[in-house]
Amino acid sequence: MRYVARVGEREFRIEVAPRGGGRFTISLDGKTREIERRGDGVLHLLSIDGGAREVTVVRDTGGPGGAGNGRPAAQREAVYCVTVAGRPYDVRLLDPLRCQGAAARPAVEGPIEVRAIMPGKIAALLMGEGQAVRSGQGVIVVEAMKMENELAAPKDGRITRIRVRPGDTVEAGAALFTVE
Amino acid sequence: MKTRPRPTRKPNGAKRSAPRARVRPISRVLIANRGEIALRVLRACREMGISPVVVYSEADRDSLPVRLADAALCIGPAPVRSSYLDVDAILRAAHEARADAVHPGYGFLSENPGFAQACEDASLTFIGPPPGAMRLAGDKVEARRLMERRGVPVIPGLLERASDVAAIAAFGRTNGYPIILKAAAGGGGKGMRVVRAEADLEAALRAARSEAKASFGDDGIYAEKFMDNVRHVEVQILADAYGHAVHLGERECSVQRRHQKLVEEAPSVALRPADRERIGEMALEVVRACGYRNAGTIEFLLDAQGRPYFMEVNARIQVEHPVTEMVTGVDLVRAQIEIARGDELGPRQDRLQSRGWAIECRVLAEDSANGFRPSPGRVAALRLPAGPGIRVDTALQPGDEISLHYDALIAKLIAWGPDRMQAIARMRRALDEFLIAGIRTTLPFDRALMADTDFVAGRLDIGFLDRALPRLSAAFREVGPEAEVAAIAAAVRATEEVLRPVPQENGVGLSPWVTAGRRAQMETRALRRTQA
Repeated sequence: MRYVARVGEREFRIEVAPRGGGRFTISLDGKTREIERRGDGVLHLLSIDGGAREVTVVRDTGGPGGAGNGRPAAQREAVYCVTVAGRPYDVRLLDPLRCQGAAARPAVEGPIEVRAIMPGKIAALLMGEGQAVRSGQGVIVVEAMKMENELAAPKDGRITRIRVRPGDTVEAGAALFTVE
Repeated sequence: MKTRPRPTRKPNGAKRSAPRARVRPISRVLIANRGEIALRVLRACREMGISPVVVYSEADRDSLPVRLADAALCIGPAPVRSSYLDVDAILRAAHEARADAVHPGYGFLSENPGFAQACEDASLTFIGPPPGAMRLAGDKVEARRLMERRGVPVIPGLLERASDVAAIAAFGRTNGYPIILKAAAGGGGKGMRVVRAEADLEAALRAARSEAKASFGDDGIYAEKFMDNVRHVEVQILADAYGHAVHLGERECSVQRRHQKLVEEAPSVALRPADRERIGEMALEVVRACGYRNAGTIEFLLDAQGRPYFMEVNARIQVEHPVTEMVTGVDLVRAQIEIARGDELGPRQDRLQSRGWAIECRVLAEDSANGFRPSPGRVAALRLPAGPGIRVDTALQPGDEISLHYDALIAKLIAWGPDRMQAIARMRRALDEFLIAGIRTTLPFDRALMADTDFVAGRLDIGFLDRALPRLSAAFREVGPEAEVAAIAAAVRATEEVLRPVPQENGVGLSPWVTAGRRAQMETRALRRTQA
């Protein structure tokens, strides 16, 4: 199996060849290594180059609060929340079968839809349709868990659509606004 | 603490009114809460030979307190208004379970005098302060007035609920900005807003009112002068039904984000022994003024010169009570139950000694790398730290679903050491052992904080975290040294997902090897197309 894996700014090209019994031959950026995965479930030991690292791997299903929100759907990769020795890493895996035709590097072009990460009530709109926004600028205030949270624009651009009004109750995943 | 009142003892020459009349044996406690505090109360009950029963919402039916209790009664669906805040449902459950007392924990109904009264009316011992004292402590405005009369220093503020923006604006003009808006009925940081200029007042008031209404069902707001550069220091007290009261030293709670405490410690580096005695005595004056009974906390702000100002009374057991327990050796929840059943207060002020240093990190189901936004989900794997000096208060189990209906606090990690540096060293070690997979937590934030120079030096005030967050987030956002291993782990998992045979409708799946082989061919074609 071949993947492009992104961790922060770093990018790795990985090929995984299963050998059975939890053994894999990995080719990472051209270097070949033998890997053994021990233990079932989420928490396991990964034996690499003779040293064992404790890792947990959980597929981010893109649900509320997940790292998959605010990115263009066409370029959505699989996101895995990994910990190595207790430290968290978000790994974005690009699977060649799922990004045919798309450039390997996701661009922040085109409209991006921002969705509610949790059920809540719209407390206020800070911007209006047609207004220009900078990445990180607050657009909508959502009240949830008894606290008000500002939802920010995911990139620089213009707000092309706002789908909610103050007082509306929204479910997790509901589309709130679009930045283009 | 003694298990029986001893009416012959008359310390401090205090007059005794027939103590036996106040004795109300407790044999079964209904715990009207959830999560770690429900478990904490349950444990105290077990250790005292008292039968613990819990109520739970549908979302919590598999939770640890439900599993460990003698009986568990469902009181409604997940939303708190239809379960943990439903007084009638809780009283019905108490009756059904034949409980003789109710422990409210913290949050929910713990500071609701109506609930305390309803328990008493139903012949249930409420494990907490009497409704009258709670009403007084709960009305922040009334409490401030009383303290001012008693000569306890208070922060300049409006001595009544603000009816409209104009009243607060006038206060702001007289006392100068910044000011802070607070919920008259509230606590726990809900309904609080700092206002730095009059132009921001109206929006802040609206937000504070709506939060106060959602949290406490009362949108009453008052205003105080907001003091920068101050520490939040609070004093734990215990008071029995016979007029005895002791203080158990202070907790330093200056590490706050949006008025929510994140890390607490005992003692505070800011107090010398003489200051400690003075602030403790001040706290006891507050206790006497309110006619307070049971466990409580008196919150103060400490200005840069170390002068304390009374802020408010928290009429409940607090989230951060374990740090006091670790340094004093007093079991505060046990003491609550003992006081409620009419025991005489055991510890004498002159015998209470603080030993060593304790720090608590609150672990929240929040993504500290993304503005602390809530991170609900399923706990896929869990390993709790242990070892010398470590205590973990949590009801978390692998497989638990973290719901948006409840507070994000999922665990409290407490480290004790003979001095502050050793407590920090143990906390760092324990944070490294702590593993929670499946949801994002504030553990990376806690690790960064324990390495921060200002925190380690004890240079804290309530603005500390706002100033420190940018540099802390730089530390915990940095990609760790093992990105390569993480990438390999993810790729291996993705491969295994592909290899897992997908059952067909007739129950016969394709061999994973066939699947893998076909896939490899498709990948090669796909890559060629991309490169072309």
